Amino acid sequence: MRQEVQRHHALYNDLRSIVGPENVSDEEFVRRAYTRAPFTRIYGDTRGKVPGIIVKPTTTEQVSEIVKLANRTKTPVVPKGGGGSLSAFPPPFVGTDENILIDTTGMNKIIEIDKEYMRVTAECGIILSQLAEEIRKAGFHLPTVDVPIHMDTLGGVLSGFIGGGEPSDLATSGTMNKYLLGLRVVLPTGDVIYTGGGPGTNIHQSKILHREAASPDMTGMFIGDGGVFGIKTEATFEVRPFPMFYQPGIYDMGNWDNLWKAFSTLVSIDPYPYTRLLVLHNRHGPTLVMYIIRAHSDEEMNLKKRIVEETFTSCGGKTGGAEYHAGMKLGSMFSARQLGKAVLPRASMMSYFGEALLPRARVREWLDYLNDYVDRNFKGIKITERVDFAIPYLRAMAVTGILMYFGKETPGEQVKKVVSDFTLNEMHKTLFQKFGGFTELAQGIGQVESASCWSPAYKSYMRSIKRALDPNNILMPNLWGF
Amino acid sequence: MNSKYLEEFREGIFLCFGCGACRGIWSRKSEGLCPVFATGIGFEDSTPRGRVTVAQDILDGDLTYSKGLAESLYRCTQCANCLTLCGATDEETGRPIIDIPRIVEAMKTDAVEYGLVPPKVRDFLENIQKYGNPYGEPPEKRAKWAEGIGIKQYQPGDKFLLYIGCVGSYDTRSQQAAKALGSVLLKAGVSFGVLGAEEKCDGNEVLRLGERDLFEHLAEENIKALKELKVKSIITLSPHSYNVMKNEYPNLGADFEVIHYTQFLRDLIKNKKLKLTKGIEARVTYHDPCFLGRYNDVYDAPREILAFIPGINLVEMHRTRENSFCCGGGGGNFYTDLIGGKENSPSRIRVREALATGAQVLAVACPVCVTMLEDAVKSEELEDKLAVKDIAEIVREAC
Repeated sequence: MRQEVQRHHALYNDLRSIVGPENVSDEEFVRRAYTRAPFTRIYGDTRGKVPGIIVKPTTTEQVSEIVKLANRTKTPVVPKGGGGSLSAFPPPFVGTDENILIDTTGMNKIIEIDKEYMRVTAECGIILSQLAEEIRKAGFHLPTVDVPIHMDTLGGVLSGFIGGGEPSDLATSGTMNKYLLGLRVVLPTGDVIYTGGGPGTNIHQSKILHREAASPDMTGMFIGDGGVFGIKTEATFEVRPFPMFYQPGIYDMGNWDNLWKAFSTLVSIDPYPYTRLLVLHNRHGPTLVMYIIRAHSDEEMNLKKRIVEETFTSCGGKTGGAEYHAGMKLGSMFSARQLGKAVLPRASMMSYFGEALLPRARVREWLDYLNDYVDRNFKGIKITERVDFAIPYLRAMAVTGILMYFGKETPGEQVKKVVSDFTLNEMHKTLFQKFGGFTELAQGIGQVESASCWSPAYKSYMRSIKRALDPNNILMPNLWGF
Repeated sequence: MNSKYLEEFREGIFLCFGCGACRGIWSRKSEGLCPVFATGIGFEDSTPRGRVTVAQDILDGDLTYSKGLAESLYRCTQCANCLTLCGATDEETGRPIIDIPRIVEAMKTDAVEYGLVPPKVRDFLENIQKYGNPYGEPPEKRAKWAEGIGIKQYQPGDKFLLYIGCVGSYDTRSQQAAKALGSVLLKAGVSFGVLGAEEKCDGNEVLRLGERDLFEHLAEENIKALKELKVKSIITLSPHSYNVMKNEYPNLGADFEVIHYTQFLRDLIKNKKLKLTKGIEARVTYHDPCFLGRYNDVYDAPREILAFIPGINLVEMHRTRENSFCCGGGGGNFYTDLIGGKENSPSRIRVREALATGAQVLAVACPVCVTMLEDAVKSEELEDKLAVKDIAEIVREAC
């Protein structure tokens, strides 16, 4: 066992003077605590790169000062939110051993809930469920993306698509980005800007009122940027009146064809008659679809219910029987808050095997490919639960994969090997090249996989923007391979 | 530097997914919350998930114990809220699969082994070693709380031993709760006595702080003394004493019946051996102490007592029973206050939660919680709105 080296990071004192001594640490046990991602064991024990120092700012101004200091000293900066990313974070190839990791969770205040203009402005280190609860108290809701909302920060979700886990029952069909009006961003130089129609584009207006106004939509360039273009410190969203009426339901569709026909019909309706759909196809059991409907009135609920139920019924679905319990049992497997409770007493490990974002038309093909792979390569490994799942992502795409629990008697090492072999060596290549899909591990290593499929023109364009914004290559250097 | 105590938990430590549910959710008022996380002070290593990550790295040989790590570990109150939040339970044994409080305790034990404990913890342990109590007070002062109320020294033949513990014996505020309990037992005609100056620290906090040798020494001395006195049944004032005597002492040869006083009073009232003659018109909320509730599943007895008292309108805080929010005094923090937090210290958060119920009285059943929460009421300047009372004090008022 090696001894801890007692030394301070070169910027230790400077950073302490910016954020206060209690918000800086370069102790090894602190730095290492930031390098683990959920399911680390499943994905080949790939741990994140150990940062050189941790800093926990509480204001945008402090973030700006940190980034300016980093520029002066050419020290890479890695922002980190709630730690919900499934892949190694910080990515092992980003920056150097001197990286400054900015823990954004100290920036967790709601700045304003504007009832008149129906907007909320919050700091980006806030946990999504905290934001949702506070908005709800004011009578509104912000449809949150289908992520583990009790773990992920607003900034983390905006910076990359992180899927899976337990969403709120007000999850959007795909993305919460369409509700985003503007951002406050610390650029890689340390300069602070507002995007959106507000104080950034009209110096006489103090509020962000809409997304684009008298300027290009600069908000969008910070969505899914992995923190490469800037550190988001505040976000303003449009909020909607809270829909008080709630109706969940489960149908057994008999077979995949019926299920997918109903699924495709529902995602094609405008506006969506549901707030959430989850398809669960157990190859040795039922083919279920679970839904949640939210509405503002009895009339709206009845209309939506009629559309949803008639769609399922006309496609051969049945409800009111044993499928409810089967559905609830399978559905609980998707709850991030139930994760330990659901999995560990029954299994040695679990995996969202091959979870990916696919064109809707190719979902079945992808699931067949995954299932064939499992049948061929998981011989001798006991799988106690195995269910195909699909969640709509806007109209054209779906998030899909196989959720598996492995038998308690199955050695973790054995599971890890087969899962990580696929995830690290085969999945991305097949997904991107053969299926035209996208990875959703876009917050860490997956960003590189995504960038490897960019067209030369797009890559050149992105490189140019990065160089212009970040001349010293300070923020998340090398995340996209440049 | 190895990690011999942590090794016991290797399997569970490496089963952790790292999902972070164990931290809790600030805004979900009905769900549990890690008190250290709630302070907003510290880094990822201060969260239950972070502590397990650190444990993995220690077991992997990538990290070694340090004074800084020990300081971080000693902020943990071992309230076990993380266990409720994680909820992963072995179906065969009923035990937690990732027992985070025990994992932290094992790391503290390793820290003690390597002489890395923070000065406040060292002082606490030294005082117990020298004086038999953490206050560094002479043992004869331990009996002062009982003066003038007619409580006698335990004699063989007495049916119950009333064990008060260090906080009830020495802390000025908690002495009031001890007195109230003694008076109520006398009024009910219970055959009991106390050890007075002969009483020694029960060792619960010593064990939680990782000093296993000192704990075993204390426990063995206590067990020997109690056996010599032919003690059969012990009533404890403190849930901390209740926990250690009930769950740890039997491993060292004890075979006493251990009862928390709320269970005892509840039965006295139920069996009409203690009559509640006076009503108390008040809106009351009850705070579940961690070592009574989460550690020992005693949730109903204190509530039943309050329900027996005419006039009391019992209202629940959102975080209650297994989700109760720790006062911040566990894991030795009552003495060391390493957890910190100022306006977001756990005790101040908890009294704000109590106030939100509209209660005039915050009832507790633990001498540690009484003092922690009453201090917090003062810090929040809520003295004219919220009174902190031990259930023993409330019962004394009612009979």
